[in-house]
Amino acid sequence: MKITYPRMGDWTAPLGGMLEQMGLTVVRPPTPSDRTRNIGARLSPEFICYPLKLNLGNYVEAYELGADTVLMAGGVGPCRFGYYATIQKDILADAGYPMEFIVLEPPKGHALSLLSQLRKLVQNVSLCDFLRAVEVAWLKLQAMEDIHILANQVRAVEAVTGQTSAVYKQQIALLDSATTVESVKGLWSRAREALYNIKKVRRERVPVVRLIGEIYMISEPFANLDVEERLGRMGVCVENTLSLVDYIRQNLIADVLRMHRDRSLQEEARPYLAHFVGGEGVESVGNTVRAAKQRCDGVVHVMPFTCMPEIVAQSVIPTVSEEYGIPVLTLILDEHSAEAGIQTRLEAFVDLIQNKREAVRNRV
Amino acid sequence: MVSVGLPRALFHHEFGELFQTFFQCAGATVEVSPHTTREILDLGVSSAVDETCLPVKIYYGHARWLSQRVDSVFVPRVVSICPREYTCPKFLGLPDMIRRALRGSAVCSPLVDVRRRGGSLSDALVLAARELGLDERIAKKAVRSACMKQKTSSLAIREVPKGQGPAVAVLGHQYLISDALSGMDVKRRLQALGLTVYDYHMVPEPALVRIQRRVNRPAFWTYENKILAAAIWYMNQRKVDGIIQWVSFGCGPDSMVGEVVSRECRQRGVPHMLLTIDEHTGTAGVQTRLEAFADMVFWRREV
Ligand code: SF4
Ligand code: SF4
Repeated sequence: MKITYPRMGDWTAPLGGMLEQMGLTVVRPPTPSDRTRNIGARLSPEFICYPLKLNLGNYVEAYELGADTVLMAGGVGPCRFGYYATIQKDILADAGYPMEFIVLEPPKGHALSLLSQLRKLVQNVSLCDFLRAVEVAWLKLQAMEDIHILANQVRAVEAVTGQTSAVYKQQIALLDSATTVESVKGLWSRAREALYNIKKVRRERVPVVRLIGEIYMISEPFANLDVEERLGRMGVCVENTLSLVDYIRQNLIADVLRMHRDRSLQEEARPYLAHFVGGEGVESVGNTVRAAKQRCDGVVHVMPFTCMPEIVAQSVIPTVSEEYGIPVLTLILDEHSAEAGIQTRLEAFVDLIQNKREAVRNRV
Repeated sequence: MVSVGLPRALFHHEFGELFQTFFQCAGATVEVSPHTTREILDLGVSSAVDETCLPVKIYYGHARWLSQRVDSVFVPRVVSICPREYTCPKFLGLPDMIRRALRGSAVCSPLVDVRRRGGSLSDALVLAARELGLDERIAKKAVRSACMKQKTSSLAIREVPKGQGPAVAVLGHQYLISDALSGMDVKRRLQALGLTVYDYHMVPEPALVRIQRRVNRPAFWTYENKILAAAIWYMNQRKVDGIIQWVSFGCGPDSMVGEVVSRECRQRGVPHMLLTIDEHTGTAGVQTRLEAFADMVFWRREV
């Protein structure tokens, strides 16, 4: 059995490392490229959501590298994600890439049931090694998230364009190769240091933009056309609302430890969207409100074309934007989106934010 | 007397009569918006986001049309009408979307979620009556008579057509097909071409349930489940010579299940056509495609 899994930017690398450490043969999903996108788009029905297409392209590429099994999460609706595995399996088989799917069922708030489903895959590993691999991966994920946040802050003020991204990439690769808790900790602080050491320019105040939207789109730079990097190069500090660490804490660990789940995001969204709508719809609205309250300069909302939960969010976010006076830029992306268009829209948005700030300052 | 507006769109095509009877019996003045016109659609298109699907745009149009004319527009949050299933994410967020579009006009939106206690359709209606200040005792009685009426009228829909010639099944959301605009009178058009036309309402309920259980991983969307099961049933029973799927541009659930249906058709060698409709679709183009499909069905019968 050679396993692959869906890629979500760098965020799923710890999963790959963990499976390797558990003794499985893993084919890491390649970084998506134009080829990935073209394969995915060719095999998929036209109006299926973009994440499914890119995943599919990745599976085909992994198949070519020898993978025969896909490990992924399931779902029970109401958005399309829960039906991904069913459709993808059929499409792959028809196209001549027969692959098995192992679907980890959503554990209804229990990390333990998820772990026991995983454990069934690797019975020849001692329980002790199994748990150690989980621990390393968990720590790695936290480290990666932390470094990601830092990199976004540094990129906005870097003296040499592109340096932050280069350092970041290097450090993530190093972290990825770590296999013990100690080495992860060591590399983590080394990575922070490397980012601190990047030469910076002095700037009066750096505009801050929150990145919100569908989880795959805000995690995979290829899918969002490098929106974080683009904004960073324009001198904007991007705060990505994606946090898998938080997600896992809230959805998988909270119930095990009998902690309260944090519902504050849902509460923020409530006046505008009072019911969950699947995907990240409510989170997108809640995060817009929160960004406004925390005085961010703007919000960039990234969503796949035809994404149902995000369309609901997109429909009500203008009210938030009007009430709080926070600019929101919505980017609806799919395989046809062109880089040039995105760049122009981002530049116009950053201009708008800057002008707004000037205006406020002049009034004071 | 309080006046309630019922948008003639989405679930109205299924529960409209029930809603209307209920509010009338409960003592409200009821206004149902007219059949979709270009004007109503334009109202909807101008207030909904571009990316949303046609049925939701049409709903926006009806809600806006009503908002000028009634005290409160009835926009229930229809989360689930079958255990363990959902309608569509957009139904879940509909009241919030409509509130945004109507700015300030009153919207009455009780929750319909049969997976919860107190989430049945009748519970929701009683709740709505309370919110509108109607007499609750009368409302409870009204629910009962409304449900009775709904039962008899839903039996009427199930009448199965009789015909000797080739037959096709037109499968899609009822609210898309029954709508005066987005439905484009497809059934009549096909009948005029000499075809017998079926839809998913004509499949006996027990058969639908049986097939749904057998599908290896059923979807969790109520309408799509029916569409898929109906397609399989019609093919198993050899009742149809072709299947037409009538879907809205940008419909999420249909993009998934449509793929499954077309795959089933391909495997069994049954002709399949996907017709995607949006607000710009002209009837001429649709007619041409229907004719071509009918020709093929007839031709395959002959050989
Ligand atoms: S959240 Fe949107 S993009 Fe993601 S699976 Fe659901 S519909 Fe598709
Ligand atoms: S099921 Fe499809 S057509 Fe119906 S509301 Fe949802 S996306 Fe629109």
